Amino acid sequence: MTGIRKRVTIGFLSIVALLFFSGLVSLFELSHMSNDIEAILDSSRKSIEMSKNMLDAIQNNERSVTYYTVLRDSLYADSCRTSLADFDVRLRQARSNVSAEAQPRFDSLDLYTARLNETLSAILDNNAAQSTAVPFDGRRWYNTEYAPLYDRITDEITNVMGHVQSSLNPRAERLSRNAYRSVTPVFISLVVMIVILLLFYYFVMIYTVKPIIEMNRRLGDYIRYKLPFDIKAECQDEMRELKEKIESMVNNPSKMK
Amino acid sequence: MRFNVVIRYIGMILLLLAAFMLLSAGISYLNNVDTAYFPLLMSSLLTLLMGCFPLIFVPRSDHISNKESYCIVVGAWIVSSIVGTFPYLMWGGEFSIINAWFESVSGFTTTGASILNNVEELPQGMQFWRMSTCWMGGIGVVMFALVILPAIGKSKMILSNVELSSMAKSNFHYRSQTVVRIVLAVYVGLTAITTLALKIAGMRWFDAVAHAMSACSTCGFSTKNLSMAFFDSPAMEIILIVAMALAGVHFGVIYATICGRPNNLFRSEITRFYFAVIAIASIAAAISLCVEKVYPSFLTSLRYAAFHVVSYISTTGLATDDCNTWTAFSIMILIFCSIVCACAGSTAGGMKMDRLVLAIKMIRNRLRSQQHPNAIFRTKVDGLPQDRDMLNSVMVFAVAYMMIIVIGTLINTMLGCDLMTGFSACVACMGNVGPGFGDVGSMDNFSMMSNGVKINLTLLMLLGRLEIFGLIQLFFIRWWR
Repeated sequence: MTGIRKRVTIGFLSIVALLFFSGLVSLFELSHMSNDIEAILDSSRKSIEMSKNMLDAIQNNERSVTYYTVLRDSLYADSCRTSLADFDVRLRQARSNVSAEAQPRFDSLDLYTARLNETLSAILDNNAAQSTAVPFDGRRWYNTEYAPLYDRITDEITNVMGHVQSSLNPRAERLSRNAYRSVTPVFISLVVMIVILLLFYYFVMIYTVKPIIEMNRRLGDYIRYKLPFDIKAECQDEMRELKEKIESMVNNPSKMK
Repeated sequence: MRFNVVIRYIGMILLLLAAFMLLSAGISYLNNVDTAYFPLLMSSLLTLLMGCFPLIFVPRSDHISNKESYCIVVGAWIVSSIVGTFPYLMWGGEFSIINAWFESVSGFTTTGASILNNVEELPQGMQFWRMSTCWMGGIGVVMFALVILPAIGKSKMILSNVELSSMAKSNFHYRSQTVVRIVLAVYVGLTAITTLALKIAGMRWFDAVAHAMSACSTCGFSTKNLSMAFFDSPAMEIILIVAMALAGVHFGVIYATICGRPNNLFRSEITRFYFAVIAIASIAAAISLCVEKVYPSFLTSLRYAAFHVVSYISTTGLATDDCNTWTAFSIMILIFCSIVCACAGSTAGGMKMDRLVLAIKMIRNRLRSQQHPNAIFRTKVDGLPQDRDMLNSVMVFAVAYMMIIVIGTLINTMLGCDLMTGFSACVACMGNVGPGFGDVGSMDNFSMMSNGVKINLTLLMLLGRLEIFGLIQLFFIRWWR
């Protein structure tokens, strides 16, 4: 048990500490949540970007192949090789950016890319070697060999993108749950603070306000009706000292002269 | 009624909770700072602050009235259950507000009913806090505080009188101070021996401590989703059967046995009756299970029957198999065990074996007095005649107990439970047993219950733990004057 000043200070400091604590917790939780959101958005942006790059590269290749099959110009043959190499680079970049669990999704994409590479190289090398000896039916080759592989590859890219995007869903769901959870410590701290505030109010009322009111009333009674000044004190603090001083003043008025 | 004094004592009990939260946080820290570390640490700080606050303001008061002590005990149980939800709520997972309240009340009242679908998902620190709630609740949070906290001083006697079951006091022939120490010594000793035995039988240290705490507090929480069925070890089951059975015996009697005093395990009428009921119920259930071919042999049937009979009668609730697949007769035996429960003065809840013995003797005396109208028959236990007030209170308690189960079942069925689930959940929660039958069987949990049912069941747990009248009195405003 301590003096009134100390008790009030402790009560005040407790409330301030709780406020600080709940503020700190909410700051920590909010920054944590902000990091999570940023990570999800970043993953999503990366996945869209890598898919776009891969699609762009394969579309470039398709455009070059179309020109080559129509015009059969060696310039477009080089363009075909370059665009396919570019696609391969994009594919490897994308693969290195995804999580371990998404890696198997790239296996089929790798397989179709290898097949495409094989088919395209075969036809380009063959045409370069034989020149015009064997007539090359570009339209037929495109429709039967290239286009199915191209479709497969674009489908796989879409699948990979879909998988990466849907793998973000559980994280987003967890985040939405965590949003509620991150408020909980703050909410509990606030509840505790309300409890402490109520207790503080109650204790101040019964140990400070009530004795003052009681002493004031008894002192009034003594002055008006000469009723004895008798109050029971519970605490060993300034309020008791005040009561004892008033008592000694009232009971021994001669000493006060 | 001095509320400030009540608040001061409840504050002291909060300090005890804060200490256990800190201990659990320590375990979390040792376990590579698992996800429970910060929730436990934060909860510990908040609880510490709430506990310290009244101690700073309210002066020490050694003399507390009977009403104040009732309020302290009931208030301590309720406040402990509320504060006990903090770590759960902060950790998250399956704990919504109602679920956290259910788990906390279930722990402190040593009911052992859980809302968790995946207990193994909990980090070790949180598992330890869960076990701590039931271990503290085992002998009563107030009783625990009486021993741990020296500042409680002279008020020990009044508080221990209120906290101890009315039936239990008669078997203690010591001063209150000694009674409190005996209870804690027996409790800690039993837990330590069980831990060691489980470790020797092959459990990991953490599981051994957790299951020993759970069995000795007759709570029934487990660290595994399959409870004891996970271990499937006859040696561990035998150790737990002994631990659970002893945890259901009056601690004064265990102490007397250790000290070689006359009122020991072998002489106490209640204890002998308790062990006889266990033996008869186990054999009867085993025969039924063997005849109906639930288990291949009589020995296997006896193994499962004995474990579950002891688990239910001691109000522990640990399980080695799904009792829903058992015969109707063996299920009825377990329901009977859930209602009667173990001896007064133990960690067990329920109606208590002492009351059953007294009720049987009163019925016998009633029949004899009808045959011999002029004869006077006294109801005696261990050769000592029981006074009329005690006998009346036994009958009143039994009637109130059954009435509450009926009302609780009515509410459960009104809220959508089927009859078996609703009734057995009420019996299990009122007796602080834990598992029931139907949807809340020994291998199931209470997660699918509606929030209304969960609240109803937590009220029953508190009513059962506080022996009905302790909690009810709090709601009678006239009594407060």
